[in-house]
Amino acid sequence: MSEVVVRVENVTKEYAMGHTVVKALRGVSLEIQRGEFLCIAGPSGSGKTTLLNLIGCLDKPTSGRVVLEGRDTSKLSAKELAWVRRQRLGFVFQTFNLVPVLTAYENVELPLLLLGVGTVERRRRVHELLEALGIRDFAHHRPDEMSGGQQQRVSIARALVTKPALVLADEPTANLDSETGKAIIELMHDLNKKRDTTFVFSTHDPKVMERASRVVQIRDGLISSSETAM
Amino acid sequence: MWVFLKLAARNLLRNKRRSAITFVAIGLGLALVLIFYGFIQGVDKQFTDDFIKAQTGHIQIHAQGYREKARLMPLDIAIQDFETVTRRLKELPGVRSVAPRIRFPVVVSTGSESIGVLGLGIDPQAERDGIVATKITQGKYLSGERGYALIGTKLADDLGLKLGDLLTLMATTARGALNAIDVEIGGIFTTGYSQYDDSILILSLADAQRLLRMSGQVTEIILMLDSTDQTERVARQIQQGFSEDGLEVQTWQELGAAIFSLLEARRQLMAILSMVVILIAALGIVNTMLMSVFERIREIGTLMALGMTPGEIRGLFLLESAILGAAGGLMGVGIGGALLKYFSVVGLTITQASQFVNLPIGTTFYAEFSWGMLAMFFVFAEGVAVLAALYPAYIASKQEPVQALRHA
Repeated sequence: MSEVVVRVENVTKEYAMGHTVVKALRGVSLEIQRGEFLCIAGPSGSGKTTLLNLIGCLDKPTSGRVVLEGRDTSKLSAKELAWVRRQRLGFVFQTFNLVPVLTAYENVELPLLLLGVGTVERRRRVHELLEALGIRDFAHHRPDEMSGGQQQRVSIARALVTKPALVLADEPTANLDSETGKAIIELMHDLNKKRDTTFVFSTHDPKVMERASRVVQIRDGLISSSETAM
Repeated sequence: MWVFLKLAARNLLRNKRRSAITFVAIGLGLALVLIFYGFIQGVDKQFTDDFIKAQTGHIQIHAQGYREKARLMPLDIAIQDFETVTRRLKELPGVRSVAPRIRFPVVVSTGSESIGVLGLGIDPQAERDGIVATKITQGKYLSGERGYALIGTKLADDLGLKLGDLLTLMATTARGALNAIDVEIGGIFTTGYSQYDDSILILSLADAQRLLRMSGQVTEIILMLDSTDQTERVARQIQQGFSEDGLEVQTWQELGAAIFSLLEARRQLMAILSMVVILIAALGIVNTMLMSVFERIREIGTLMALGMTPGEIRGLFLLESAILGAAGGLMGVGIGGALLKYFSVVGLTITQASQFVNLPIGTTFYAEFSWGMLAMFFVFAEGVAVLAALYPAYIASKQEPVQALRHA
């Protein structure tokens, strides 16, 4: 378990907010190993979402480098970044973000269609994941016909279907009741173990942090501690 | 890619009312423009055909110098040995009929009354399908027998003449002497064109030549062709083949230049009106697509996170508009096409038209209908829809994933 998936090297990120410059990250370095179930924790405004966005190739650092599977992503164009996300990353959002006009099945299938995976393989993978996540019965429901927990399961299936190097989940339980949130974290943990999928998620819920293999605390744009669970 | 089409189509159905309004706007706008266009094409074609048939023929030939003085109807600028010229013209490919004529001012005297009218000496055989021959309402058309004349209904009424009455015709000969002959009214015609019915007297060419002492001569030769499209080609052939004969050749376009430039101006006016209608429909599309983009900023962020490139996002919105354009286009072409087809067969009758417009045109207007025209307008609607979506699609593709995902 020593293969590095992502290396964050002394990354800073500044935003212009009106006339002031907000320093969201002030020099963060971090290595994420394959198979980790990593939690980035911290109060809101600490910079954890910014860090997650940089790792997820949704944004570019002001300085420093983000190296994903040996490739420096800070130099890539918008189109190249899109391809990196498509092929190597999966996303789970706080607000689920399913495509409203597509059914659960179609939402999970979408990333495979973008990758040009053949029909038979596509169907096999989508069904397998819907089954594994216990949402097979909702395959032909649209997002507005499902509960929050069900939607989040669909979105996890969507994130996993391309077998990405890394799944990023920004506060995946924040919009769920504690019972459902716990179930979602257990599910992700389970998938991490069984499929050896690397997860990076953010939270400020101590109950959720407990499940992580490592917790990175972030505060005022800097990593304040990094603890590996026993 | 199929998935983009599915996404685009479903997104259009998401806000059914808005899509429907835009769809109807495109459809009705297109139908309107199509009907405009079809009617103008039809009426112009009809007008042109009428103009050629009743006024000019496809090509007119005169002796050199005649046109310049045409208003005076000079008899001394005549085509010599017209029978040879006529025979040679008939041999040209595409020529349907060759009609030699003499055009001259003539005084018609009934004994109690005299009136100056336009005299036309024609070859009865050559013009047996012409506008006058086919509109004889009393008596019969010229048979070639000498001493008969044809006049219009209106002229007959004005002079109190009826079939079989005798007239004395007086005219100045080509050499300037006065001459007169007597003729009998052999037929009365009603063409519907006032310049024919009010003030033309028609004689056989032989009688006219006798009256004017112009044996073997005519002042003009009118050519009708198999098809109007061949006019230029035949005119060129005549210019080349008859260059040593001292003839002037004019096509219907040249002869009716003033009227046709009027038609052209009207066409341009209609084109501008059409552009306004299209612009309004296009703005409707721009609005619909912009609203659709702004409502879906976060969804755009999600799609970007899933790995859609800016180009694909752009394509998605263009495709939505293209589907809207195709649907509206089908509706427009359907409604417009059906109406045009109907009006191309049944026609639109405006009973008062010919009283207001003293142009040689009937009172029933036929629209032009062709499948090619429908296809052209469909493609046009599709093009406008895609063009109108360029800006909204650009806005969508320029979203930053992080900001878009954070969008409320």
